[in-house]
Amino acid sequence: MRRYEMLPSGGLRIVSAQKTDSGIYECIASKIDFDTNTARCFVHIQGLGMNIPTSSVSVLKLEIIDINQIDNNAIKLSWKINETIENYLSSIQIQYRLIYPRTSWMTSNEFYNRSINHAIIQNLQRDQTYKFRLIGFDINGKQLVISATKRFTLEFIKNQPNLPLLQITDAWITNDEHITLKWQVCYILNLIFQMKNLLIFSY
Amino acid sequence: MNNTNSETVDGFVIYYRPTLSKMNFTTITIPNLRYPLIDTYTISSIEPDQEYELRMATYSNRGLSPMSNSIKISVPTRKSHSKIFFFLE
Repeated sequence: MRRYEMLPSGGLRIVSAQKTDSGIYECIASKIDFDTNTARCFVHIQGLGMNIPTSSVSVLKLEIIDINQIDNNAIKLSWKINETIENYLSSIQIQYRLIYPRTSWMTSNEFYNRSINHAIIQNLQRDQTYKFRLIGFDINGKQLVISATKRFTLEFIKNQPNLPLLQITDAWITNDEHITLKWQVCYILNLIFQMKNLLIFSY
Repeated sequence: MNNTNSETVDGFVIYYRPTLSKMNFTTITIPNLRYPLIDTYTISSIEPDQEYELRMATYSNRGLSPMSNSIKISVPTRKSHSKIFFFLE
């Protein structure tokens, strides 16, 4: 696939620039009956540190689809496993690091088997931006895929604790043609604790 | 836990509108003055022959809670209409 194009202005655009695109570029301008002129420059392509040691094809096989904050120090991470690697993938581990100050990747202790598509990560710092990625392993424990990274900033949740959550459980039309609603109040924090407990017990 | 319920809910807000309308939601505020918390309410100002969309939230001195699930309910045509229809037949 061609990764460059000439612009109407006479410029050259290179898309998905790679380090191998570095080198000397020469521009030749010529006109019939006139002289030819050239100009040269050296182009040095610098990595932005976003390259991950895997091909872009395998990135899509394991994908972080969503990150939600569930309390001031915890997030819920959801992912998707592409069908093409479903049969080879045995377990997933989560890695995360702070953006600033930049830390090295921290790895979650838990291994998630391929039937699980979300996890809760706790003990994160509020008001901090993290990068998350997933590592997929085959049955022998060999690294199979690595997902693209996704950023998330934990914000301060104001209504903590005991933020009530309402559920409308029923609604019906009365004989005098009015709507009657019935509802239930529950508490997010209690739900989170239940979820955490479930996670702890299942591993 | 029941104690925290009454401490953190001062009342409820119901939001409703005909599903097909682009109107703003009509709101009804229902203060909760008793314990255990009220858990039903009847809305009287509705039009027949429409589908309504309803959601709720609780409020307290901490502010509004997140929105509840949204539900849809159809209000049938008024019975008096069918009477006229019967008469004409």
